[in-house]
Amino acid sequence: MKGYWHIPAAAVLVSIFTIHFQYNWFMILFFIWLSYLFYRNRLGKIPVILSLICYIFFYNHIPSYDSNALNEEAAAKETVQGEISSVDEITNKKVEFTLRKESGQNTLILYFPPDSKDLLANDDFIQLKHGASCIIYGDEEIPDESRNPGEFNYREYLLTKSITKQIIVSSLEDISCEGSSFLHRLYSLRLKLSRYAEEKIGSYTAAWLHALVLGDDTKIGDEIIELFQRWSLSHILAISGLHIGIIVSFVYFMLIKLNLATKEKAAWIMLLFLPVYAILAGGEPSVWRASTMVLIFIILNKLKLHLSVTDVLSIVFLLLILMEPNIIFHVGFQLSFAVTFALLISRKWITDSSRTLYQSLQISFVAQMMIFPLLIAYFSYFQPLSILLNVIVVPYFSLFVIPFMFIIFITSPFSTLTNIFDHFFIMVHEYFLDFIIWIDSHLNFPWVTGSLPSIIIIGYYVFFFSLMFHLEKNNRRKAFMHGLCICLLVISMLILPYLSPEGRITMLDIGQGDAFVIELPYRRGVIMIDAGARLSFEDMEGNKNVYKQIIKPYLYSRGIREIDAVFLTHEDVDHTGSISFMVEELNIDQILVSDYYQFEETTVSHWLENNVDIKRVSHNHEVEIGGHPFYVLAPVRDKHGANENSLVLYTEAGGKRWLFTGDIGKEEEKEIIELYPDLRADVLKAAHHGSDSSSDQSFIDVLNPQYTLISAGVNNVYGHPSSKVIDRLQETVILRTDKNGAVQFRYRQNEGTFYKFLP
Amino acid sequence: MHCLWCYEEIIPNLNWQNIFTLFKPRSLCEPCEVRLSKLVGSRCRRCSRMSAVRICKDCEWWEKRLGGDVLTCNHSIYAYNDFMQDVIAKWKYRGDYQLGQIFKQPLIDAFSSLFVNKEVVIVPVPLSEERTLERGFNQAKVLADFLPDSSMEVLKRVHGEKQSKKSRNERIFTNNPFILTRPIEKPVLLVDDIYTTGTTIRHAAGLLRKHGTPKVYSFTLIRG
Repeated sequence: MKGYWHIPAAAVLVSIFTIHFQYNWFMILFFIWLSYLFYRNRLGKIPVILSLICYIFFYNHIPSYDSNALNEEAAAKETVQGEISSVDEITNKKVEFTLRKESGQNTLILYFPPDSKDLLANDDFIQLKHGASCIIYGDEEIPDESRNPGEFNYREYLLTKSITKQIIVSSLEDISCEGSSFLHRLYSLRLKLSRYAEEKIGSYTAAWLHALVLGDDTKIGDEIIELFQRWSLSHILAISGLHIGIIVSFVYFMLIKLNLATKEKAAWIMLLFLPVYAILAGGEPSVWRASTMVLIFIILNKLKLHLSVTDVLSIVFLLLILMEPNIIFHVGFQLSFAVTFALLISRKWITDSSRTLYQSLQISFVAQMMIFPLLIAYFSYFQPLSILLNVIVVPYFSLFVIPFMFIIFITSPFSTLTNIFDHFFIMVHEYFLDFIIWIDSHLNFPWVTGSLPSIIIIGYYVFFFSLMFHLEKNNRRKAFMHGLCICLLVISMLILPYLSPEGRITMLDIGQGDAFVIELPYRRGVIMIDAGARLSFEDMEGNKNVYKQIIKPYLYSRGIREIDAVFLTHEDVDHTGSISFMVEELNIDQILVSDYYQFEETTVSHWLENNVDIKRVSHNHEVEIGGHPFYVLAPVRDKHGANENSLVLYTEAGGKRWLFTGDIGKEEEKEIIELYPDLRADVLKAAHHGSDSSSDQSFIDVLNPQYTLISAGVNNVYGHPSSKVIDRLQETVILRTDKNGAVQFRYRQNEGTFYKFLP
Repeated sequence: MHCLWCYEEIIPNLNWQNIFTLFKPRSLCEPCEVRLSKLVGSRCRRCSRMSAVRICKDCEWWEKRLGGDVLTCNHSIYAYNDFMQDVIAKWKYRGDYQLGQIFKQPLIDAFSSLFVNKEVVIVPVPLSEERTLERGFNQAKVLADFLPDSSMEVLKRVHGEKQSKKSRNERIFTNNPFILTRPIEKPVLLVDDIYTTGTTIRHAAGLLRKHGTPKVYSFTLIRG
């Protein structure tokens, strides 16, 4: 069995593929491969039998969840009883913990303090201990699912943590808990350590110490975290093999060099220390992977047994899935195992070359190439230069930052020394981060490819395997050919949209607000009509969430980073709130507004700084974008009101006539049909989110639409769309974001179909 | 599985080349295997020793002395080194019969890439009866038996002093110790463990050629 543990691990992987993607041919291929190996005497009976057992067992063990299958139960105030299985976050903005109910299912409990008073000083939190049994009073509801293509699916994400329900409690009095478990001590130790670090060391350094030693990156700041994400550097912030390796060798070294323990005893101490540290470091899958691997190696050493490294990795893989089957859907788990496995089987190739710099390039290359399809699948985004940046950043963190964090932690009782170290660290680290930020602003050439068809993913891995095979054999000519094939594959992915005759018009569900994306066939142009945001109550400006969570993921999932034109119908935040974020991160050629659109000066300069042309379009004008004409029907004259001055656009696509009406009211509607008595629309965007002040009967009678699009938030406070409007539109097919999520029209030439994102 | 030389456990390591085909069963661990030095690069066409010229000096000398070489060509897998000397000593002289297994796979691989389509008759170089009794096995026969095609023992050897106890000149100028029991009229592949001066092989080859064998090749584990 030694040297063959990866076979049962592969069997488990195959069973996951069978369950999750219904890839039966994958299983057939796998068993043909096993029989071949068995027949050729490459594989004994035991690995084959064990693989079969693993396949069958995990086939039944791994839940095949379907996030839509959860029944919506009538929500009623009720009490829920259970035990706290993890306390995820306690800050002044949010309290979050998981409750394991008697039925074995988990519920997430959330509390958002109404004002930012200092909660941490509040006694009520002391009772939120790991293992405490609690009674919670509140509505148990099903977590939100994604409502737009490309959007992060929170419901599915919680399912990967075996959480099926959530309760948002309105006050802390709805929570009552008592008791705790042994693990609570570790968690409170974690809390104490983090408080201690903050007290003794400056908050800047403490934030990094939190992230790199305690596995909590919430204090670093979103901008740095996003920067690291953009450049595939997040693995540094997630505690993994790198950190565990440094920490274990550091502790081991200290124990022996300070004569605190013999080598024999030090090994035993490490056996205890590793699981404790894994919990202290936040217990993410990558932490467990790395520390369990070290643990198994120590035990094997004690028992004088030998296994290959891939065996140990495979055993850890099997153990973790056995304990928590849902973990396989965890992104960190997938990335961690994929990278580790690829690096382990590349050892021969890497050790064959002698220069360290070249070796670190090889490591970075294998790691990034291995997870390329995963990164694309999750983030629709890959930064090819990140392979080079990792070569610089990883040594900086592993040789300087992480060890330095320990040194500063040890010296923390001596305040003068700590102060010096602290200043030194801030100085060096600021320079370094500035360097990454500089690279980010000058060398940011990402591939935004959109989601990959499975045939391309399979093709990619076939070529990647052949590339590595020939590199290892030192067969450079063939390796080059296969590398070239990968490049061609990626390039073909990037140009695929330009070859597709399909166009799409999408009404995104951004809640109460408008955002339409029009993708012309052959990618001749990408046009948006409005890009709203949710109002943030702090400053009454649009907040970034809609852009970050809905608009950008959608555009990226379609491989779009360049937009030819954005029409802004009028100034309201629910129509324009996301535009300034888009201007910063996407390439927008022009923003088109009506003659009466009122700019704020700061916005104009902000847009111009980002190389956006601002154009006014007047009544009766035709605007051509990517060869596709849009006709401006309104505003006819200045109506002295944002809504009333909305841009009204007419266009034809997919054999249908479309009318986008912004937020105009009945009066403007009447003016339009007076001016254009022959106007007809097959698809009408009902003005003002279906408000009763718009969509006049006469307007609808003249236009005679077949389909009506209504963008309105779920249970919005305005009561949009009005039931009267719905009555007036009864003859048409009503497609509304609050019921259907995003609505998409896909067309080829003069034929097209509407798709609702939610069934 | 344990290494037949150092008895350490062999745990195969995965890499990109063996991830799908897995590991051929191996009898030497990796560190021991690298101590055997395989013959690579440009070699003498006639005797397989590493050489920059097509035909090495030794083989030219043979050509002159015999007036045309009786041996068409020899193929060897390993060069002789200290480690090989230890392995051969343990295998042949101290009777570690199993140790021969370490040569099985390399021998099959080389055979199937060189001789498999040549329709040759495999003939192991024999030991004298006394020597076979003394050692318990004939190493050349063991090697020949590893090959996928069956062999024919058509040669016999008259008992004499061990080759390894003689000097180079003594070896070259000894009388032919072989007797042919049955002439073979097809090309022959002689199999032996080691080619040092080439005398033994050429004695056998000469005898075969004299009795009508058109061509004689030899396949020896080691080029000394």
